[in-house]
Amino acid sequence: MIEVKNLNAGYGKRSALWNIDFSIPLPAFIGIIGPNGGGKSTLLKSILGEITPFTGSIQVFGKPIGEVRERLAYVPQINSVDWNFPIRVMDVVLMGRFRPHSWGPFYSKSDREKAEFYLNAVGMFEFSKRQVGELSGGQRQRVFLARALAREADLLLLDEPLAGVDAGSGERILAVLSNYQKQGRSILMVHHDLLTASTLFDHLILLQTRLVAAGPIKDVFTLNNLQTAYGTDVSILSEMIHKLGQTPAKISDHP
Amino acid sequence: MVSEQLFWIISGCLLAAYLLSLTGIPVYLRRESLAGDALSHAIFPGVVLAVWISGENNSWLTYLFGVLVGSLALFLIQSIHQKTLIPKDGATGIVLILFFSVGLLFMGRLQRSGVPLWGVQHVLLGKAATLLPSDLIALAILSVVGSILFFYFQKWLWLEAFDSKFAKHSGLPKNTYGLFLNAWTALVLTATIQILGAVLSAAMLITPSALGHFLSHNPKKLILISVLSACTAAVLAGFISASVPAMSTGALTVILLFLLAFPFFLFHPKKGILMKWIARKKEAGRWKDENTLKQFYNPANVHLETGLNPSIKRLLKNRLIQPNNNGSWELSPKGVLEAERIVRKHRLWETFLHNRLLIPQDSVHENAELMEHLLDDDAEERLSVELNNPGADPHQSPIPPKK
Repeated sequence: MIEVKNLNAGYGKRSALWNIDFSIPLPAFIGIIGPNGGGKSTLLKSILGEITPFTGSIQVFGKPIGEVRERLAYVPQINSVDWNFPIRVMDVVLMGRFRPHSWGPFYSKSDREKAEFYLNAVGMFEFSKRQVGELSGGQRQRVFLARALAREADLLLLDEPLAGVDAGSGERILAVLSNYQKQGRSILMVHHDLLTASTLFDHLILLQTRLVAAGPIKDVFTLNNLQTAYGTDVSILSEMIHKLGQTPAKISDHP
Repeated sequence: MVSEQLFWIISGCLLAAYLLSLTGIPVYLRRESLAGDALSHAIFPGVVLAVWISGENNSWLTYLFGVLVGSLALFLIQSIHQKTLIPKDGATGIVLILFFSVGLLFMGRLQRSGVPLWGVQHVLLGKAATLLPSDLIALAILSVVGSILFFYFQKWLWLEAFDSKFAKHSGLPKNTYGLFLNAWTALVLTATIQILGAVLSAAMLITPSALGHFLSHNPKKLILISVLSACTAAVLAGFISASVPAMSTGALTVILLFLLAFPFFLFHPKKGILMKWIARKKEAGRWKDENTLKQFYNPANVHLETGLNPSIKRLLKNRLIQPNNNGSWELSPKGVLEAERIVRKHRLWETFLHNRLLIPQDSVHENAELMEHLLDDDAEERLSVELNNPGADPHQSPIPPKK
């Protein structure tokens, strides 16, 4: 269960999220969607404990985040680290296998196998011995994703993992995520593409600084809700109306 | 024959260099180089105070005060940075000078008080000759402990230095770890400033890692280069300072380290300044040669080079041109092929710019002048296919077929 109560959060004195209340049972594949500036990343950062909310509480697995941090994994923005750092791709992914009580200088054989598995899953295995500085932006993103996956955490948090990734790799990553979730783990992911959102997730959180709706996708992904969230953003809505017309089976007609 | 005195001095320098370069790796990788510099100055009042109180040098009190005062300084830097939003380098500068001034004040009082100084006046510049056997034992113990810690905690070290936020999320006790690393650095600096001096200890903390990082992005090689270069410089400096009077060992060590590093900065195959310059020269030469070949290719072109310039010399040497009956040169059969290759790239690119990007016919030439040198053969092939293998460019000049 991921439970958010009366959450107000933002940066400095400026609020980016107002009175957010929802709870979603886990395991689940949850998408956070909404217009730009709608507070998607802010919600993710609050759940991660990266920013301290003004008011309210967040509980994951029935506990405050501070107590379950080791059960979470996340993919940071790629520009949050120095890529000139002297380290190889494999070493970065192995970091995902770090446990505070795994003393000793080296990672175990099974840690290495897991790291190789996920490196392969994101299509970066052939780069495992490369220095990270030699990678392109999209490749760095995938290495970070492999590292987060290698943690095999109960809840994986992602902020637009497909941004800056080419279409082919994007599909591959989505397949990896689907598979990851099917093994009884949960994913919470900020996503901006409504077209893929409609088929990818089983739960949605729709934000527009306030909570528009949260819950099972069939309850949230309605034309009414989308209009509330995206307002007069015609381009997105017309695209969606087109989509709604095409696959009525996936979209419920009633809000 | 190495005298006993010299043996002690060199051993001291070697241990100090080893200890500093090893400790410096996490400091450098965590981008705390400036804090390392601050630390080496900030522990000064602590060391003076310890001598003053205990009346002897290098007691356990020296190390305790060094670590305490050093940690206090780093804590102050962090607080100033967080409370006032003064940037960290600004806060570091303020605290560094404050602590150092307090140290100087203590020092002045200590000198007048008549208490034996025990070499504490060398904390500024360092003097290996004042080394006591007890200093050496302390350095040796720290070296052994440091090596074990470094080896055992390598997983922690790379994880935390690369991505401290992720480390925290993985359950690495970031604050405790940071405090411990700072305390350890202060301890090492307290032990080494009496040999190398405050300024030079800080330099020996950072320079070896910077050299290692410049030469290799492979973790193991980086460590090896850092430690070996520091140790080599220290041993050489020990020998020189012992045989030449009035030579500061610390200053000499750092200068030798720079001299050791200097050839690499120049001659490193990929990153060396000189090698980069040579590569640029070569590239410029290739462009010039390709342009000269094009001139020979075009029979209408009357502005043929006649002087024996470097480009002509290179082309002659590579048998791309040959002397003709008019006392000038003409393309050899091999040269014709090479010239056609360049002209083909030029005209294909012009066609692309004009047909696909709709750039007017009279403005495509200049861009093609650049691209003809840059397109590789694979890209050229694809470009030709993309354009349906055109026979002529926008100016109706024929595009030579690929051979």
